Amino acid sequence: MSKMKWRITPVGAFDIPALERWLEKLAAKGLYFSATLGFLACFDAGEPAEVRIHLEPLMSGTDTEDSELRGIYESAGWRFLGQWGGGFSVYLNDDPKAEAYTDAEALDYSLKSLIKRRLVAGVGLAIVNFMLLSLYWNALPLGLMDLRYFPYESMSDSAFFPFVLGAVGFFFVDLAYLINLALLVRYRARGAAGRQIRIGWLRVLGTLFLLPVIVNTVYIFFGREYDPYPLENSGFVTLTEIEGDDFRLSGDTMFNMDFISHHDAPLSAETWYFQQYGSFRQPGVIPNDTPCLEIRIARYLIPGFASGRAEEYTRIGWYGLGELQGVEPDCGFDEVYLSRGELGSRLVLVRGNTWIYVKYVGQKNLLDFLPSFERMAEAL
Amino acid sequence: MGDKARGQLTESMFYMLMAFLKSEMCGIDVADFVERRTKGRIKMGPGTIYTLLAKFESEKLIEETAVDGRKRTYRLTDKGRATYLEELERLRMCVRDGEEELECPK
Repeated sequence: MSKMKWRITPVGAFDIPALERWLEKLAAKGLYFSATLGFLACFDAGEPAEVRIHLEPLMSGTDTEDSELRGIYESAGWRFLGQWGGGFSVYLNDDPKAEAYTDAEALDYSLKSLIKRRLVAGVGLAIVNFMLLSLYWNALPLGLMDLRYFPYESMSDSAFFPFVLGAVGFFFVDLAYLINLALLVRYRARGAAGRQIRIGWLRVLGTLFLLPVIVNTVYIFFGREYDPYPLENSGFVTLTEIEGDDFRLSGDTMFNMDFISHHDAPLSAETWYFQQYGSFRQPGVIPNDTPCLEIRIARYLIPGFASGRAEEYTRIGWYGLGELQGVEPDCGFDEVYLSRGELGSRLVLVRGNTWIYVKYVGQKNLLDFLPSFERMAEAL
Repeated sequence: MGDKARGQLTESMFYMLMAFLKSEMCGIDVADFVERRTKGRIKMGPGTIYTLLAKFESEKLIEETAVDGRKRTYRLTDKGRATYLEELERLRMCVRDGEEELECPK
């Protein structure tokens, strides 16, 4: 049984002469091409030999045509090694001087067809660029300029990292594609290989950036990102707990959540949201002094984010709720910030990578409920 | 390599059309025919055969008549025959001009 070896493709995915020379070099070392997986190429180990490798662009992806192609090549003494992606059949000839093309016009026609197909594929790639990036761009509530003053708040949005990673990934992939296309056009124009440009790393980098974005998108697409759970037994602090059992809550379920909104995706912080309002007279219009409790929580993958976001919040004011000031940390929290105003107070808590923001309209002192918030944090 | 000098067809293209004149053929048969007919002077590489078959089919010079596993058989169309005859006439004129030039005094 032959041993399989994997190698990263160092040159462009459709830079024919560069790929052929690379595969011939590896054959001289005893590695014979068998298949590709993205930017990786798989090889079977064998006896080292000086051979001729040829990549034949497929005119279309039909099996019949491929079968005919293979028949023609094999009758001429070439051995089929495998498919290079979906675009080429790879053949080997034991004679290092063998040529698959004996007519320059035929080669030109083949390359012209290939360039046309790659241009169409390029348009497809541009559409994928646009769709994926616009999906996340439209989901960004803050502009990229906000990064300057509120970087942690901006980066906390679930669309931020998928957008940035996607943009960087597409930059590398698109650049590799364009260079590749230019090399192909040059090869057709000159009829001979020019200087080899090792652009394989661009594709590798692009794929590494894009892979987590694709996983993230699939995760969201299948609705795995949103996972709410009941308020009961959640450990969350409620308005009733702060105001007392006889406090009357709003009857509107939108303002009196009986569940915890919970989001979690591979490329974003895990977040929780919960709010409760006291009853108010006019449906849809909430007076400023209506007692309410809003809790927002984010658990970050990257250390320092929770603390950075807490610091940013000290620079954000809120009408009637005062300015956030640092207080002595307690109850297992690393940082505690409190603001008090005429309408109520705000509390920002940091515990490891977890950031907790509490907005409260009412007259109770939130610091008295720190043990309850500690229990809530432990129950997350 | 049989490069196209001036006319419509290269040497390989001309011989490939010639191969279909009398019978239907698959790509492998075409390669054998051309090598036999030119007594080994022209050997068509597999890439050339595959590409020219696709080119001729897209230009409707040949058409597929049967598919048997790996083997696809083609025949010459009327357009293909006309193209062949046109090229043959062009080559005849080339030869005639060349011979007349050799024979006529300075």
